[in-house]
Formats: sequence, C-alpha cells, structure tokens
Amino acid sequence: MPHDPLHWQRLFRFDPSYDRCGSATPLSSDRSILSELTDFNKEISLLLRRHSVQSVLGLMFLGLAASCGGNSGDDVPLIFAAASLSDVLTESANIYERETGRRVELSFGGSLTLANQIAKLGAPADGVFFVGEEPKTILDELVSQVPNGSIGLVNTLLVIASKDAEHVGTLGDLAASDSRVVIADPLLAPAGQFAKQALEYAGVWEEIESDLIFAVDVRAALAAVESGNSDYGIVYRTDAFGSDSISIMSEIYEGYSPIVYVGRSLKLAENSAFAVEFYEFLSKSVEVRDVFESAGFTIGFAGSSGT
Amino acid sequence: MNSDISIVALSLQIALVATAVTLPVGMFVAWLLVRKQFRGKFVLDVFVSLPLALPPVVVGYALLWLVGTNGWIGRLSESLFGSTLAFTWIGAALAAAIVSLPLVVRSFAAALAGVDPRLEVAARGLGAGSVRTFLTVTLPLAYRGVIAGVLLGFVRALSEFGATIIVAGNIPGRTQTLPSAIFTRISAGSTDDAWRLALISVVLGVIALAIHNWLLKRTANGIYNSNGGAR
Repeated sequence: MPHDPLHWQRLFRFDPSYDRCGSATPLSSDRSILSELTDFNKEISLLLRRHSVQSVLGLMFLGLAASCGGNSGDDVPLIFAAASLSDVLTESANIYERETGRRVELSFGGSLTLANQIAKLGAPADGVFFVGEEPKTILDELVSQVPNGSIGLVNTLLVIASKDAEHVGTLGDLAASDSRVVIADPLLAPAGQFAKQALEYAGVWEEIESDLIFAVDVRAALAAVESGNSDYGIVYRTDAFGSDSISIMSEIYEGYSPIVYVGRSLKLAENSAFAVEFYEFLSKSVEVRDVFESAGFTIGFAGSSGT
Repeated sequence: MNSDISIVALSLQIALVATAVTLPVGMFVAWLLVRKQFRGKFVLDVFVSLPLALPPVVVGYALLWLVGTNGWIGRLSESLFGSTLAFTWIGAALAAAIVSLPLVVRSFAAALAGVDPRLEVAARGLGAGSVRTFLTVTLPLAYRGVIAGVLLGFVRALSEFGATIIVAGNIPGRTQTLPSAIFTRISAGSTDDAWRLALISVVLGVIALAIHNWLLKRTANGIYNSNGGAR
C-alpha cells in the first residue's frame, strides 16, 4: 500500500446509493481509513502542542521582550537628524550617555524626507536637527521657533571626485566634462537644494542637468562617488572630511543659502523636554565641540547665525 | 553587533506577528474561495491578491492613508491608544501581513482544493459539525500546503521592504527591519555592515526553508511510522 496521506482518498469511493442524509455503505477499507485519520490527527495535535504553538508563542514573547528592551525608556527622546550629521551626532550621543547616563535615539535621513514624515504623516520624533530653512517651514507650528540649546553648525559645499577622475576646477568645468555628477535629490534633502542653487548661480544648471544623478540624501551621494559609480559629486565639506577614497576638487564659496544646522524640539511631543536637554548638553560640552570641529563643522551660535 | 541583534529581533517579531495575522485570515479567505459560492467572490479574490500585482510602495501608501492621522483606522487607534499605527512596528507588521497575504491565501487555497470535498461531506454525514470537520478532516489533509503557505508568508514578511518603509519609516531600534537597515547602510556607503546584514538575511532564509523541509519530512515520516505500527 502506498504510504501517502492521499492514498485513502483514492481508495475511498462512495457507494452510488449514498445520499447526503442517509448513511454511506461502509467499504472494506473503512476501518483502516478511520484509524489512519485518527493517527494523522494525533500526530498533528502532538506536533502543534509540542512545537509550533509553544515555539511560536515563545518566539513572539522573546521578540516582544527584546523590542521592549530596545526602546524601553520613556524618557529617551527620538531625534530625527540630517544625514550629514550621522557621524558627529552618534559620537555626541555616546559622549552624552557616558557623561550623564542619559540616552537619545537618533534616526538619520534627508532633512526634507524626515520633516515631511513628521509634519504630514505623524512620525513620532521628539526633536529634530535639520539643515536649512525649508524643514522649519514644513514643520512650522510643530517645532520651537527659537533653536534649542543655542548651537548652530555651519557647513559649505565641495565638489568631490572619485580617485581616478580628471581634475575639474570650476562648476563650469564640471558641467563641460559631461561626466556623471551625483547630488542629493533636491526634493528630499537640503544638500540637493544647495547644490542646485550653486549650479544655477554659476549658470550651468541647464547644461549639467542631463548628467545629474539624484541620491536619497547627501551621504548616499558621497557613497556613489566613493564606490566610483559616479565620477563627481557635490556634497558638504564635512562629508568629504571623513573619506579617504575620494579627492576634493574645489570648494564652492557662493551662490547658495547659508548651510546652518540647528536643533529644535517638537512642542507637542512627549519627550521634547529631554530633546532640549540633549541640545543644551551639545552646546556646553567641550568634548562635543571637538567632535564637531574635527569633523569640519564651523560652530556658530544660533542667535547670530541668522535663524 | 549589538544593533545587528536588535535589528534581527525586530524583523523576526514583525514577521511573526504578520504571520500570526495571515494564518487565520488567509485560512478563512482560502476556505471561502475554494468551498463557497457567493456573490462578490471574484471581487474578494482580486482584492486579496492585489498586493501581489501592485508595487509594494503603493500598498504602503494606501495603508498609510488608512492608518495615518487622516485615515479612519488611524483616528480610531489615536482615540484608543493615543497614537496612530504609522511609524510603529505594528504598522510594519500590518504592511508585511498585507503584502504576504496573497501568497498565503494562494498556498492555502491550493491545499484546500486538493482535499476531496466528499470526505468533508462524509464527516458531516457522520455527525461532525463544520468546525470539527474542518479541524479534523480538511486541515489534516491540507497540512502540507498549509505549512508551505505559512512558511512562504513568513519569509515574504521577513523580506518586506517597500510597503514597510512607507508605513513605518526607517527608525533604528523602532521600525528599522533587516531590509531597511541594509538599505540605509548601502545608501550611507557602509559596505561592510551592508554585507554582514545581507549575509544574516541569507542565513535566516536558509533556516526558514530548512524548517519548512524538516516539518514536511517529519510529518510524512510520522504518518508512515504510525501506519506501519497500525498494520
């Protein structure tokens, strides 16, 4: 007899006289079918009882416990920050935890992407550390109008190139080179907007537009040049500082709005007060100041930096 | 390394919860589609299968519209729990469940369709209720297909990216799953981290498929052995 759970389906044939309300005429294999079905059920209930249910529940419980452990603190603020701050803010958060025992959670991305997630989609941030004016315009009433912690970081733009690319001096040369140039997407990240402004100011936007590649944020633009997938890129000075697999072509001095980062708290958020505490720590700590400065940021005070 | 573990734990948690949702829902829908004739069956079929034919981003956007601050589910959860499901891991699990549901329903439907309806009729004729018939006749016979469907749904939920990143964002420690963590690391040029997490994905996929095969083999052996004992 074939050992196949379906074999008795094939064996089982209803008597033609069978009707739904009456009784089926038992066939010779009836008994074995019944015993088989019983075995099958036993097997399954054992399997379910022993393994699946317990292990699934156990795993779910573990998962829940792990997640609760992961973002347990009620007083841990979540701060959305510009991608270009990822290294310095992560390091500053480590210093903060070491010195005060307090933690912050950081999530990095294009400032415009993140600002829209908060303003239009209700993302649960307690504070933001964004660059430029537009994120503030998007967030409008939601954020503190005066920057918290009174620290402002100032940045500039650079033209960078992958290692084996030819040297270009000006933005005009860059446009004339007909090479691929990566910038952050102006719709998603201020870095892209500043780069666009600079190219427009230099009068080469139309010429270069067809050679441009848009990346999700400025760090993605840097990565594209580092990997050699794009010959040139326009990124922040501070992005180029940490990278030894690119070469710096030129610094762009004019034609774009001031690149200033400030921390703001979200007024209605649960942990906004803890976000403010973090910003205040940033503006006071000498160690943090060193981190920012060695990464190439110019430190200004929010009051005097025109925000 | 520590963050790797929490990323994997969160991904598993999201995929497990998604699977726990798709299992009963998928079973019920598959049963309706295979065993019942009713008006709107085609509509139900298309509605459930649609995520398979749509870009996951569209599914995510539709879901965000429902669970966000302006959607009715969002408003409901906001009044009940004080927050919407957008940008939470539950939102991510919901997205993963919706995207994996078509695969689960399809596997379940194929499994149920392989069960001879006359056996169910016989069980009913012998006095079993519909629930008992389903649990003791239909389900045991469709068992392999059901396991296959559950595992398939689980691995799909584990690999979900497009809908998840729209509904839940990409917040480390809260909603950042394995695929979105890999995306972030690739974007940021952290190739070592990206490769390591990609390798973890491969390992998880192999484990899931191994469990799949082991369960099937084990079931088959169990039946063989008990048969051998009975005869």
